[in-house]
Amino acid sequence: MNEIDFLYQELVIDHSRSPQNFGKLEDKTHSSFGHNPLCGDQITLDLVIENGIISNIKFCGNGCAIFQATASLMTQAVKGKTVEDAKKLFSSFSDMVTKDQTPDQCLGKLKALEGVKEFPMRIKCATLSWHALLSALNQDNKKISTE
Amino acid sequence: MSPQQRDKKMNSLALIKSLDKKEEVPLTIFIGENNNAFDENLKYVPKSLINFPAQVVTSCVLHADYNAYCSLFDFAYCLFIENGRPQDSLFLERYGLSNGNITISKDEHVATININKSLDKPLCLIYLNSEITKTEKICATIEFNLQNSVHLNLIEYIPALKSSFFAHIKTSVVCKEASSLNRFFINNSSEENKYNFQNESFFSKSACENYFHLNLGMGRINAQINKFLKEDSSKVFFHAVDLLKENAQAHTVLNIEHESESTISKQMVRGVYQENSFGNFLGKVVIHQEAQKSEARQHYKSILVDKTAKAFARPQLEIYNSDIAASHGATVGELDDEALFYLQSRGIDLSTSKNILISSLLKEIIKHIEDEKIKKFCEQLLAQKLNNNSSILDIAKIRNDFECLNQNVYGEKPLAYLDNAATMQKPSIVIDTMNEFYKKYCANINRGAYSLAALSTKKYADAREKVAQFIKAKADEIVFTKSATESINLVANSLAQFYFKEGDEIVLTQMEHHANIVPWYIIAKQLGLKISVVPVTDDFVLDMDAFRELVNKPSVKFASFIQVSHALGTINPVKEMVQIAKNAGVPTLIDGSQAISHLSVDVKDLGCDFYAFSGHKVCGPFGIGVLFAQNQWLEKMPPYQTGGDMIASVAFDNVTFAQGTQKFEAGTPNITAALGLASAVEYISSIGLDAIHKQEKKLFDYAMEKISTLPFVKVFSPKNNNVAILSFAIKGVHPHDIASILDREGVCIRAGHLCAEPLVTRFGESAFCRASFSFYNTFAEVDQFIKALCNVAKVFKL
Repeated sequence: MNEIDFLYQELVIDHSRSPQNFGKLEDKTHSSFGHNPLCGDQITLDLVIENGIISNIKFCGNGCAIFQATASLMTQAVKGKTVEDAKKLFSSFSDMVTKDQTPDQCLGKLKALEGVKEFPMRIKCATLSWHALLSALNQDNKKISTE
Repeated sequence: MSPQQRDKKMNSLALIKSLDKKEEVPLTIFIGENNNAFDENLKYVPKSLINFPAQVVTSCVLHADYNAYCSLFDFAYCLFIENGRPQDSLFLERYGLSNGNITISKDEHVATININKSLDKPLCLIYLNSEITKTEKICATIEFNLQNSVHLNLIEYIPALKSSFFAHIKTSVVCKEASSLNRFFINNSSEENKYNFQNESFFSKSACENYFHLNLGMGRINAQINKFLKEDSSKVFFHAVDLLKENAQAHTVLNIEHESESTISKQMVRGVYQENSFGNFLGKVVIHQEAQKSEARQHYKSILVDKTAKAFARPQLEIYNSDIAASHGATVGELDDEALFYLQSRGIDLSTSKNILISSLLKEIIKHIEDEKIKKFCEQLLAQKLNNNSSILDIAKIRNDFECLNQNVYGEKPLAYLDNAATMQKPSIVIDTMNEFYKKYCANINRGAYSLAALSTKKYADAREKVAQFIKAKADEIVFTKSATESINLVANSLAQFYFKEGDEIVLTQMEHHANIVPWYIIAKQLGLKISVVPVTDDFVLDMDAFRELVNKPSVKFASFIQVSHALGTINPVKEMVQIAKNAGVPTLIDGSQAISHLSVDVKDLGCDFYAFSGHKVCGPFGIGVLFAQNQWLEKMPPYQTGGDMIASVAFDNVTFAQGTQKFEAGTPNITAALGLASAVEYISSIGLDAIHKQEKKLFDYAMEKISTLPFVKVFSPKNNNVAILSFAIKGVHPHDIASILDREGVCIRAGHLCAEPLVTRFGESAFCRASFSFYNTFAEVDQFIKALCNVAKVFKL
């Protein structure tokens, strides 16, 4: 399979078209805003964290397919997980798209984004929503930018 | 080198090693560090025909250039003869000619082209050769058969190729009964090319040929032409034009045999030779005993334009039957002095006068061409050769000037660089000029008392002069900056110091580049100024009524606008806009960054107060920009950057500044880049902006036509009044994704807000995609782009 087909595999296209957990949370306890000024990707992330567990998560935003799909799959993956596990997932995801090694099994459906590593110019699109998540978890109220 | 490339190289080397043992030898092999492809479909010819050296043979002529020639001969069916053999297996399909009217077959020695029915368009053979070493010889034979009563217009075009080679090509033509052939041999070779053409033509009863042999190139060509009028009433009309310059040589040996009764041959030869060129014409007619009532006429006229040219003409008649009519005549002379004097006395300069006389001499031949399109082509080519202007662009030759274009990416995808609005490629001459400066003339300007510094200073001054000429300004009106952005910052910040007061208004437009928005925004915030914006209509043009209204408001003190939109491609009516502003007493700055590489700019004619552009957008290096400013402004404006070179005297308690442009050039300038820019504008001028604009329009129209067949694409560029910039979006697919997919197909486009966020937002998008074409792009690259867009549709299931 060529690199384009691998990157834009069906799961990625589907999630970018119909993202999961899209919207806002009225009862949010944590939130953040992230932005990629080079291509215009934007994300607003709302979380509800209770007893160290991410009980609810939603995102709003627009951008390229890589960004949308990652945000959608990320929210699916971290929902119901502990904050620590979510951070570990970020680390595994980051390794998957930047290093030349087999993806961690714990990534589950997120492995669909493995193709990003052949497109260094697009890594920021994939990691934007994760950075926004980290910022929300740390509640540092910083506006996240990829630059 | 990637593992795949390494494997391919090993395969190539293994192949070469095995060649000594082989009977057959591949015609093209790709090896070497920079060549990625290994041709799976190697074309084989018998080894006996080729001296194969054990060294490197470099890559084949880019097949992308096929379409460049196809567009040059858009009135004909183009068949590519590569290394003497018809290539292009898709020729018949491409033109829909698979009905048997023309058939092409090849075996190891001969290629045969059969014309079974008359074609509705001329057939054009384009002779290309792979780059081969000097010891390479190509031998090949092409046979043409015209069936009974068939009519054919046949062009054989010898283009200017960069490589040095010797090629021997034999063509054999059989014209069957009542067939008629209009044949055009057009030699447009370059100095490095050497050809030996051997032609035999056989004419059956009542067959007729109108043959035009045009030697207009710079290379060396031997042509041995034999015409056999084998059956009665057959005819051949031989016309030749030699227009040779520099070291070009053309040897033409013609032999016409009248072997049957009532046959006719006519030879009309006109030759014009200048500089060191040499023309040799031997024309022999043999009238056999059987050829009663035949007619043979010969008339040669050669002109030697100067003392170094040489011409040799020898007509010959060998007659074995007395019941015939024959005549011959040859003259060699100079241009008519009296005629030259007459023209000059009418105010025409010597060079043009010479060209007028030469042109009228050669037109005596060209006027006999019946097909209008072919005649027009020949006239244009002739005019180009006489005037050294490039009304016809030799794209393949031009692309050779831009090394960066000739590469493959991701293995085998040819690079299609369609992001010229972001930066243009740099021709070798620009790069060499800059390197030469560092190697030979490196010294700081203005202050040195030694010869190297004097040379360096002169070169910098000459560069300024050349750049000034390019936009029809004076050298003392040209400030070198590092970019158009810096030029605009200079004006804005300088004017902010003395010109504006609180409440003043500046007029900008909605299609401005950020470089022509942000500097004004900053000073507006600092000084309490107002910015009014001329809107862009849904047709991608400026609302001129709004412009008129806004500029005429009494509080407006300055107007700045872009000449050509880098995001839409729209050409704005800047001359009119400057006039409207002038009438309202409002000075103007034109951002010409995008205009400068597509349109001829005359700042005097435009009448603007300031004109800014960047060097790298007109084939120049990065790090150099230009600000044209009228003298009265340069006098009034305080400096923007300060330091050395822009001062008259410096003391800690008092500094006085230099005058004129020097006041605005603080510190050591980017000398090399200025020289590079001068070289770039010379290069552009040598091709000619009119020719460039015409070529770009052809490409753009083709691209717009193709893209309009894709229902999923929305275009944000006007169809007319455009400089070959095509901005577009695809619903449901983000421009970034489009650009990535196109990238993998080798196609380079830009995606994002294109440094025009207000404009992109105005059209309801977060980002555009933009393909921008230049004179060195090819139609094949447009095809590659369209194909890649279809791939996007496939990936996203549109």
